[in-house]
Amino acid sequence: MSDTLILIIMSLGLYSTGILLYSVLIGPFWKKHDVLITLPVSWVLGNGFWMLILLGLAGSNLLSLITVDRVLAISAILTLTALFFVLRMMRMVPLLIIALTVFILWPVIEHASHSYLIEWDAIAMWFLKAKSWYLSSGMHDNTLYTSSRYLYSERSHAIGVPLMISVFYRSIGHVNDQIAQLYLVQYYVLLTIALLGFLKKRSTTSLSWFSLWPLVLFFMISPTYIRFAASGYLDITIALVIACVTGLWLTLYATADRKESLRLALLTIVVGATACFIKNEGTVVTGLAGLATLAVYLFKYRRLTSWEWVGLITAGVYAVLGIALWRYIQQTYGIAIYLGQNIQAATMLARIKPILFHYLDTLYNTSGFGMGLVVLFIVMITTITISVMRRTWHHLTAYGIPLILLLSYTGVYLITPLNFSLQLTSSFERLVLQLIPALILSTGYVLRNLTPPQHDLAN
Amino acid sequence: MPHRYEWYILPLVIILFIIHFHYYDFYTTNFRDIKNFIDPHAPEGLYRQIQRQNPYWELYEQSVNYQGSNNAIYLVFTDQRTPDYTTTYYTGKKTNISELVIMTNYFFYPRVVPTISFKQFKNITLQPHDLIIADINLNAYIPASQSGLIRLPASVKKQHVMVNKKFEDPYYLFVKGEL
Repeated sequence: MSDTLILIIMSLGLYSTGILLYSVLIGPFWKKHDVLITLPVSWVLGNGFWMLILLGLAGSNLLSLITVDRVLAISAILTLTALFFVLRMMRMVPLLIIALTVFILWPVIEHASHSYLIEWDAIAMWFLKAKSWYLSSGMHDNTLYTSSRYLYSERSHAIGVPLMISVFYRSIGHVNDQIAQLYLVQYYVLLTIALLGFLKKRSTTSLSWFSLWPLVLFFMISPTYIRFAASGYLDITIALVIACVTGLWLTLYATADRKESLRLALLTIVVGATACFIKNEGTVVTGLAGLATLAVYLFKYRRLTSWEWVGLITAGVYAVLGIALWRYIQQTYGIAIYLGQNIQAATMLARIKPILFHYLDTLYNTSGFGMGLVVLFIVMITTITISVMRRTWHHLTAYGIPLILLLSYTGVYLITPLNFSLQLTSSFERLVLQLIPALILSTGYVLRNLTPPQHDLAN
Repeated sequence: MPHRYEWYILPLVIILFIIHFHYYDFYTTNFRDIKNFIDPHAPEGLYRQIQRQNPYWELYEQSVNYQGSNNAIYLVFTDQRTPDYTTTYYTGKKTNISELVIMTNYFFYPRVVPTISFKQFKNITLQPHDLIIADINLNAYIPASQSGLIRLPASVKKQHVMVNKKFEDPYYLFVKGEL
């Protein structure tokens, strides 16, 4: 069986796991199923679920249980089970939009499967770890975590994606960077589809496909996105989770029906749980998804029923499970976290000015983001100004998730014990990359609420 | 169909899309060129063909050749380059880091290839077929007749360079000859 065919079967298994989880949380016969949202959200859910299982196997040194036969059998069973739900979600227009999007992005997909691995961060942080998990049965015999030679690979970083890639390697029987890149490029395609899906919702924009499709592609085909989509980085991976959390959270904010709100709240928390397996900053995303959802739910309904508390706490426990498990493994095997050193308050204050100026300088990064960042910034500032002048402050809550994430990244720059200016200049571009999709959704939502409803415009 | 007020922004959206698509097209042309060097039906297989384009192909090839071998492998690392992000990021941990170190560690994993300085290299005794990876041409400092090191030639000229990719730092491979 070819490597690509095995990847396709395993990916179908991941989508199917997510679709089944989605059906449990939202309800299989929900009339508002939209494949443009279900597909990316299911991918995030499926990956999160299996990353949790893999983390447990790695911690208990049982990774050798993973064999190609078992992987293919589980994937096939899940795919056949999920097929029933998938067929119900199929609609002609969204399928055409997906086909057109994949057609435009096809060169990037092809490039991921035909280009060698060279970006040093991707190799040092993720692909070396993936290889180490492929060659070991767990933490106890993993050379990368026992030899000081590999200290530069930051062993405290989340390991969900390297573990997932190692399962691909185990299934095909050898290391194949291009198969891993092909797995990762799916996050990029799904991020584009997720943006289209969430922006098409009436609560976010009232634009037709004629404007929406070129608008989303305008942002997503900028050089930085293309480069990071096909070279083994995980910034687009986490960008998809942040975008899904933001999109679902905004939908929850706009939904009046209480039963539907509860389902959306549970889904938002569980989707957010995937972030903590991807990157260190993902822990903030997971925590924020839970807290922001709880805040909106309490704001909308004040007093919750006992069943609602049970549901929200259960989803919260699932979200915290991944963080707690990785922390337990880190403590058991003595993996130090590099941000543990103390930085003096005076040093932190002196860093504020260069941080702010670097943030503003990023707007000029047209070689990386094209005109996307400038256009987004102008529209954002306009929406904020109009909201302030009209005293409709509550609309600005929509910026909550990306803004708090930006503040948390700023906090890391303030306390980092590493070379501050080098870390700032080399990492901020990628943090912007993570936040742009969420900012697009938030801006769309605020803009929609500032403009009169469509039936008013028609008159 | 677009709402009648949507028509006002539609030209702007389409022009912005076309501007970005123009640059995107530049990248996709480059991607097509890269792909054209790969023959899916070649007996060598897709993976090795793609690796052959890698600037560190010779390193990858030796990692395959030395898999399971008892011969010693050393990385002579002098790091005479101007310090940059890749060299200075981990200086706090006193770990030498460069693209060559990263690629060596990656290709040879789980074998730990010791990194040694030029001074240490002069003091070690090599056995036949031992492999030396270096960031300087060792034969320029110690004559081959004296060190017994045979430089492995670069086996293939790289067909393409990826967009926005700086050239790799030079590296040299040597094998200790028969006594």
